[in-house]
Amino acid sequence: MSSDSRQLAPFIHTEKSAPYIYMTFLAALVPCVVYAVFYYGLRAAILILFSMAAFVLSDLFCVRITKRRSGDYFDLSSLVEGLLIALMLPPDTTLLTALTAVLFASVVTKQVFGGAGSNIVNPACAGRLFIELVWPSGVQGFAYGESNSKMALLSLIVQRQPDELPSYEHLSLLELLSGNYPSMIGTACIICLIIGGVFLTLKGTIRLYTPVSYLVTIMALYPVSMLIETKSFSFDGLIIYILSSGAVFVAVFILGDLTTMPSRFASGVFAGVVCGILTLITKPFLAPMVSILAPVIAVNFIFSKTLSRRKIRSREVDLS
Amino acid sequence: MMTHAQLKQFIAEAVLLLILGAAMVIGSYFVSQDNANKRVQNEYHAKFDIVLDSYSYEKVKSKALNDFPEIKGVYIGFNAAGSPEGYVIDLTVKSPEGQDLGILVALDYESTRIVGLSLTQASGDNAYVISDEVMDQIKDRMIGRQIPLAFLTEDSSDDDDSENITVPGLNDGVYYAQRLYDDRNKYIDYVEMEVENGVITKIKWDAFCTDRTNKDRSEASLRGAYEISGLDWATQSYTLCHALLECQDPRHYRYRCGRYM
Repeated sequence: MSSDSRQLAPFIHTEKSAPYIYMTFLAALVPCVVYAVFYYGLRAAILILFSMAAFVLSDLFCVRITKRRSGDYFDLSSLVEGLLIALMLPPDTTLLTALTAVLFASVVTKQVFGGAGSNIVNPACAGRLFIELVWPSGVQGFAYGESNSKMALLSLIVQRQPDELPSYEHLSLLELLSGNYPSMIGTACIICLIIGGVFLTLKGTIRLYTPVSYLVTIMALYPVSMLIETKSFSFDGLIIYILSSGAVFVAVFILGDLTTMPSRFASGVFAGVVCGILTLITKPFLAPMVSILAPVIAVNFIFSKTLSRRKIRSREVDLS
Repeated sequence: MMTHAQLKQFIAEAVLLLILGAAMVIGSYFVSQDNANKRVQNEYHAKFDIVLDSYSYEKVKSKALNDFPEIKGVYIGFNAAGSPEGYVIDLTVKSPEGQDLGILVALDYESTRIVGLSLTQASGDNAYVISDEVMDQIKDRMIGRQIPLAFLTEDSSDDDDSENITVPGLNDGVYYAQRLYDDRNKYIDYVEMEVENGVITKIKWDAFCTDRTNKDRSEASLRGAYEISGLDWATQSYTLCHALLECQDPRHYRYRCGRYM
């Protein structure tokens, strides 16, 4: 063995390997999973497990087909992406709809670009946005309260009639924080999202500047947006929008993604600001979920690390 | 690759987050549930007060409703004492031209009379619109009337000329209706009615028991197993059905001296 202690580049500055980062994401999402199963029962649990399993199988299949080296570790990003997609679905979504989102996310947005760590846009975000655009009636099953049965499984197979969501105007702060209102199965409980966000921050696997700048931008510009849109503004409306729109979930788990968001402070802040502005601009014209997710995809494209790698001044080491 | 220590740490942290998450979700659920119930009741009041002004409402869960896609929901209205006082049916029907018409119908708890009727917010381009004036006329004819309803083209006298009465609003066919819930004696009432050429030709009112080991109410009353004041239930039911066949129009029912006329 050589006595030379010098190492070859690239130098590893952290002990946080890719599996470690994805595992902390999985752990951070555990409270959201608890929320989903507690409020929506067995069908939420099946939807989550199915999405995760389908994503893993799809990724494995693609790697096998393309004969691409998958690395010397099990690709945990598939589990994270599958879980993120499931948590952004309404409770009464069929398995077929979930599978459509998973296949689009896995094949088109992830494997086509080289697999884990090489994707330009967030796969979970793209998959969820895809079914929202091509299959809008498939993501409107919001049985809740007296209509919600925790043991019901039929909605996993048969598409329910779209449910009319109640107005969120009368939601109390307690309901908003606890997620005790009809919404996606994992995005509504702010308490769970805060727990997950704090955990990721403590573990150092999230860059806070993008999520924070995103939420601050929305809070700062929401009054202007509402004054232009409705000629009126209320502070309650701002709180309700921030807490019920899924913006917090997107901020913590999508914009905190290390693969698709900029790594530098200035770029990260700028990306968050742009994403927030685009969200408010598109809010009056698009479906709520589209206006939240489409700006993220746009920002992914604009600030993609994959694109910035090709810049001469990039800090990334290009071995080719 | 993850080290063994990292894996153990991950499992410990995941379990900790599971416990913390469960405690927060369940705790916040119970803390916020009162607010959620009040909000839901406020939404029901805003929607249903116009047809049935109850203290609280509760949605009916019944698989039987799955057979009626036009019914969006059935709700029971309760008074302040917690006693049921009527039903609200939220439904969307199609006009002959295929347009959507949203209607709220309130029935009394015995499901015998319409006590409220209203159009719900028309949404979409395919919504059918009824003017307020026409709606008021429909309400005048329906509210307070006994079910099934029929519109008469002209009033008939109280003389015994019911054979000449036709019911244009009633199409030919066999009709069936039953209560959603059983009564205190576990019976569910049902009515079968046959209409030919606009005339009611056959009608049967009976009740089956949810305990299938028991006979139908008419048979049970004839055997003495079901007792009510006056004549046995089967005879009273037959008399009522016969009276309807005679007069054809429920509005012409008169109950005098213990018999229908």
